[in-house]
Amino acid sequence: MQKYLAFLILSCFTLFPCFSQEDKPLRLNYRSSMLGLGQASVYDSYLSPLNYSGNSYSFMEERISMTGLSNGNIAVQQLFYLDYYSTLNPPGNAIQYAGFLEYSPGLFYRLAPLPDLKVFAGSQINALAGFVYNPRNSNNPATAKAHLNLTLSAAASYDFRIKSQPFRLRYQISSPFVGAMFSQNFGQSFYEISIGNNENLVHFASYHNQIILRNNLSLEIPFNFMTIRLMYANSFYETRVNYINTRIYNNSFMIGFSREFFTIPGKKQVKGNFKRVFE
Amino acid sequence: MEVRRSYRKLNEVTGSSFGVVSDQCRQLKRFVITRRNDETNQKALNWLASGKALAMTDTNFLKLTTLVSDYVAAKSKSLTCNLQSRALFLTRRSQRLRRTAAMTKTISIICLSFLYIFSSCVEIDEFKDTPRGNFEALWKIMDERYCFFSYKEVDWNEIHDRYSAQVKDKMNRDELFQLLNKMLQELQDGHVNLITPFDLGRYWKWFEDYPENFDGKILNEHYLGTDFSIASGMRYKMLEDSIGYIYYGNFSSGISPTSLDYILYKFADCDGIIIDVRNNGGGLLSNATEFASRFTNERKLVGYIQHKTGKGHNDFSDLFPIYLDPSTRIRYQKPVVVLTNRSCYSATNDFVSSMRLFPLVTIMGDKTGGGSGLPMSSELPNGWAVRFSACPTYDADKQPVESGIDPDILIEEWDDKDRTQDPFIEAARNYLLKSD
Repeated sequence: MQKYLAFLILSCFTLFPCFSQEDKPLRLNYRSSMLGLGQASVYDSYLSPLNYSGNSYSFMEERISMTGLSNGNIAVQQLFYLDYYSTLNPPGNAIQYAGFLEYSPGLFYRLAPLPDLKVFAGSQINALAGFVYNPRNSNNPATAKAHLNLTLSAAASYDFRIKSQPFRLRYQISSPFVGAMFSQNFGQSFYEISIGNNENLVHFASYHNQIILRNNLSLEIPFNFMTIRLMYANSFYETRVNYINTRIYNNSFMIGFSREFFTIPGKKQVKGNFKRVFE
Repeated sequence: MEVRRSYRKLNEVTGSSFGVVSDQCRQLKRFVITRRNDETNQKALNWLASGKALAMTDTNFLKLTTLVSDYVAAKSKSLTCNLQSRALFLTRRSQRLRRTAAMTKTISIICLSFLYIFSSCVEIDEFKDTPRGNFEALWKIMDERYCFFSYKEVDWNEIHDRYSAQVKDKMNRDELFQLLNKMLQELQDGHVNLITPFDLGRYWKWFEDYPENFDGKILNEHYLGTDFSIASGMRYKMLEDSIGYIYYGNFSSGISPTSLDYILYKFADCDGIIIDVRNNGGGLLSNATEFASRFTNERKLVGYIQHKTGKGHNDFSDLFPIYLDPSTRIRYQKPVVVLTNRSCYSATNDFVSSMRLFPLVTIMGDKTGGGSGLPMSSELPNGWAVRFSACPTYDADKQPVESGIDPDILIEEWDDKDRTQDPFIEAARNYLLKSD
């Protein structure tokens, strides 16, 4: 009896994936990698009362796939940004660097009001770590930037053709609405923090002291062998904590590739029954 | 499937097996198959009942009636299913439309919120790159961030009015520099500097108005000679009477823990060492901490620090204690004399403030120059940099050391005529030899 039960249980586990793969469409993962160049503006009152501006260098990685949640209408997205700014003060005699590492995983509900239009709305967890560094300063050479936020995000994707060439236009807007962020005190040095004064460094963050916005508008042009993605990326980061004001914005033009792929365990034959994020 | 199956069976029997004539068969189809409501189906059944006269056996008639009934039932069921699926489709579509409308509403609210939020963004103080703009920018930076207004009893608003009247639109670069530097000198702070590509605005009265009490030439000729050692910016040598001597002239010179080990190990057999920090204008606090940690065997409260929490002149945090932990490497266990003069400033002042707390350490010489405010930097619209005291530090008794630290043993005599001896070093040697 025990052998029979064991066989039954093993059979269920063995056969279940086969049935599910045959019955359900295989969910494709969308992945896009991009490099960008643009113009950035960096203002941090802890370091300088002047607004620095200069070049920005960006990298972005995006992954999306549909999940089995809510009748298959929930998409999971991961966004990874790496930004580096090299800026000069208005007279051009001082340089200031800034770097940010950002990771945003999120879940989106997908709607299809029109056959070629997909609308996504959801929320992300937005984690950011970065710095603004001014080598000219003495005991205030840098500020550390860090936050962990819950973000509201909406996106839309529209497929269209010009003659026989298909295009996909995508837009996504994200803005953190609640979370926690790090900020040193108004006149506090990092020396004081280093000897253990950690008081009042982590703050509740919302729109009253933090406005962060990301806009991505992209055009995807599929070819036979690859899909090229062109994107205008705009980011706006503003905080007002402990009388320290920070405003950093960046406008970048990005170019990269996107592709769809699937991962299945073992060598299994895959039939053409796919579920795509944007179709 | 059920409808199709019953239709096929019905079609088969209405052919010829029941002997129904073709006209009647067609009529039967028209009634039964093409009509879909219950009323016409019932009519078909009635018509079939009358068709009994058409030479059908009872059995066949019963079969045919059953088949027609099955078909009608299946068709009705199919119709119900279709209606149900249609209703479900409409319900889902309605839900989707409602969801889309709700989402549109939410997105609209979010967009409006963004508009509201962006209308309340931070404002950046934009000072023009003019003499007036630079003057106002400098005054405001100091007003908000300088930390010793109250301690030094400086009326910064009065200073603004006095110097603002002297700002002219057609001032040249040098005139503006002189005016701004003069305004900053009102603070009497060695940590306040105006840094430009052509000059360094400074306040050096904290040592210029006092005896120097140090002569590098005498030190080199009569004490260090040419056979001294150098490590981590320290010049050191064993003097003739078994007293170790270290001259450290700049706390910006990085101190290597390994170098300190070698130096202190070399002086292990001495009766004591002299640490000469005269004319040391400061540097990195980390170096001062590393050096001082070699002369204590226990964790020691050495001072306090605070910072500004707002833009007001008296917006300060609570005092935060600074502890010095003993080094885990070689620590010196014999008497030590630290030689000071008025040019000991900033990090050197901090070093002296810590060292005087240790039982085997004696501070000798002149009062230090002070400089207890941790300096920070900012800049003007024209790109000139400004440095200022931002975070005040205090000694272990919570007393300010901005104006300097008195030595344990004050040495006032410096005979300028006798250029063969350094009276500070001689006094230290005698003190160490006596204490031995």
